[in-house]
Amino acid sequence: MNVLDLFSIMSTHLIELMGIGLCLALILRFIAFRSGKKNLVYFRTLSRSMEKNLDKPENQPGDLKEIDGWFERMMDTVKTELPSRNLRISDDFKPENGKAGFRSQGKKTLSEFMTTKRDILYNINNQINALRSPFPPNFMELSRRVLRQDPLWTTIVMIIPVDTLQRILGILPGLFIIGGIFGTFIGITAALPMIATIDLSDLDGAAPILNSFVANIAYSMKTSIAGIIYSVILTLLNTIFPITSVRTEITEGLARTFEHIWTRIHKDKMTPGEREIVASVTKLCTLIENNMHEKKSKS
Amino acid sequence: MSIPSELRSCPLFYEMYEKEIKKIASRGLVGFYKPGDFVVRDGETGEEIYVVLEGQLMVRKNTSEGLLDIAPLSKGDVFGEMVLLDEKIRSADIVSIEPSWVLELSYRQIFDVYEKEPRIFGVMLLNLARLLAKRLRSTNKIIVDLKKHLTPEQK
Repeated sequence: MNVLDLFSIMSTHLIELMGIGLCLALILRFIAFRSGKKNLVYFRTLSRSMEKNLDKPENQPGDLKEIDGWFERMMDTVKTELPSRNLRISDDFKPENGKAGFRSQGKKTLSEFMTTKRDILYNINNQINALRSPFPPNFMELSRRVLRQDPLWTTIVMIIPVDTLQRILGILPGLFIIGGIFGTFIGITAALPMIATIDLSDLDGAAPILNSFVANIAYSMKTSIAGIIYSVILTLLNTIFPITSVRTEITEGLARTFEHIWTRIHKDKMTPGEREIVASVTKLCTLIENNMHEKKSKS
Repeated sequence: MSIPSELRSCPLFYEMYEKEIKKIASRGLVGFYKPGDFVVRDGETGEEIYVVLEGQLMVRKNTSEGLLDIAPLSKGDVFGEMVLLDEKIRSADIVSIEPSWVLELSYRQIFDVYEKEPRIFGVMLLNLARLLAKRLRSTNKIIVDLKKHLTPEQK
């Protein structure tokens, strides 16, 4: 089979091929959307849990030097409150009731261990240096940096990269239209030479040729119609149920949580510059006060 | 999959790129040990190296005077590494004191790395030599300190 034969088969079954493409796109879209919703629930719980722990009086951050320990303790508490995100890989190795055994059973791979709730929490823990800074970091960028390292965020079913999928879903409506137009041109190109074979003197013999011509033209129109319909379906879904908006909401939510943590860490602490300003102003006030006292005593 | 920071700071994986650590560590299995569980037992044969990912363990020896706690092991610590030097008999008990997650790598899994990635294997053995040298220095220091407290008759 050569390229031309393949091309011929493709053009004959273009509507079916586009249909398969649409079904695949719809399935992946659905999985991505569902995954996004699951992520949304998870990250909302994470944010609420972190903020709830921040509000407890016994969990207030102390000195900046002890921030690492404080943060780690808080994340440990949050970890116990979180649900397991991936239902296939659950963090179910809870101690059995009863006496300690010789050796614990039930082992998992490092990848499974990391893709339970630990991965995102490890990534958040690693950002503590950014939160230690007296100057507010770019919280959105921090949030994106944390999320980018989480395979459950960057992939669908741990295989398909979400960014690539979103880009493909974005261009698919256009591709369907182009496919439809392509089918139209193929059909017309295939049909037109038939006209040349018509013998005008034998109109009865021309009937099958004309029928074939009409069938080809009708097929070419059908591919355009199919392309338009597929494009409209996907465009409507992309508009009404966008995948990006859920992910943006999650990123913004996490950024707000980081901002909340940073504010708590630095609430009563001044930057070195601010301390200098306060010291200088205090000194100035003292000088002015002393000056006024001297003038009063002289007068 | 991002590598836990405990593995990056593990002495066995010093000077390795994250990709290289992942190549080795992804072959292992992570086990959970509740308080009181034995990870290894004194005198048993074993072919695994262990890295503590979470929790705390204790190196313990049964002596004539009772159980002696030798050293605690926490996140990032490695034990059982003697198996790489063909020493298969465990020399102490390792007991979990907190709920702990421990990465286990078998001798065979590590030697497979030698066949496919000799550079990584070489770096790992170099790190093993450094680790053993450090422990030997520490042991020498302990012996010297103990000797200072001995009477001339005991010496």
